[in-house]
Amino acid sequence: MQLTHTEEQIKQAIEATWQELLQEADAEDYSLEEYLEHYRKYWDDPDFPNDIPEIIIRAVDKLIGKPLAWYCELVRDPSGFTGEYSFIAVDPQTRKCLTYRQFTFDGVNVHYFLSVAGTVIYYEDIVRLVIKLLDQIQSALADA
Amino acid sequence: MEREKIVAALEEAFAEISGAEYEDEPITFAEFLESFEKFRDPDFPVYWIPWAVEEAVEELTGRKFGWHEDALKDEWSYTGEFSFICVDPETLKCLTAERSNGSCTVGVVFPILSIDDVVQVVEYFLRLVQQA
Repeated sequence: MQLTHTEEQIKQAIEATWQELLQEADAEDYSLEEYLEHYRKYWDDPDFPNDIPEIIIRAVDKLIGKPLAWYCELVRDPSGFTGEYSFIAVDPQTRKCLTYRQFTFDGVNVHYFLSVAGTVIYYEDIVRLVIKLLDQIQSALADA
Repeated sequence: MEREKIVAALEEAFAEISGAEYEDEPITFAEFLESFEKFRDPDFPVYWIPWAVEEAVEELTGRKFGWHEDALKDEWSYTGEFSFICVDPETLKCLTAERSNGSCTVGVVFPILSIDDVVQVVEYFLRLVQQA
């Protein structure tokens, strides 16, 4: 399915979400790029407010035009947070899992995947992950 | 469903998942859970616990489901809580999604530290599948 949003619209939704989060936190005005600089240094500090999932979720909700139900996992290995996030989105009206995919590698066994995952280190990673989620969610909504 | 049947399905699933790991000195799923509760070792194969739940549910219902599981951690170690998300591949419905007070949650979280806890979790999923 063709993505119905331009990269510019996606970046606008991310920026609008960032401004919303700053307002809600009554925080001083600083850019998402500045936040990401701190994020890269302190992402595994339990006191660091990790806003990445919230930015991605709200940006996707804005672009889809309705709030979805979400589950987000910060993927960890034994040495800590890996920088990877996995997202599961559900349509709250129909309870359909919008991030669900199934594959077979051998033509016999079917493997089910409920989540869409991606690593976030830089701003462009956020854009890429929003695009990946939009692509999957819009296809699932179109099939409903 | 009787508890014995559920425990048998869990033990069978656990034996399959743990594979050759405990071949020389076999341990039961109940014993495995006890050692998890005692040590909360960060290297403990903690995901065997939700996988055993999922396999037992599929065995007892005769159906396959899409699953996502997460072993919850605090700053130091596993908390003994697990979150589960279950999707029916036929309808794509998220069986664990729940709407209340205008909001919708996707996953369910259970503490699992004993064989009694795990039996209750399997019973929950069996009810969920039956309702669906």
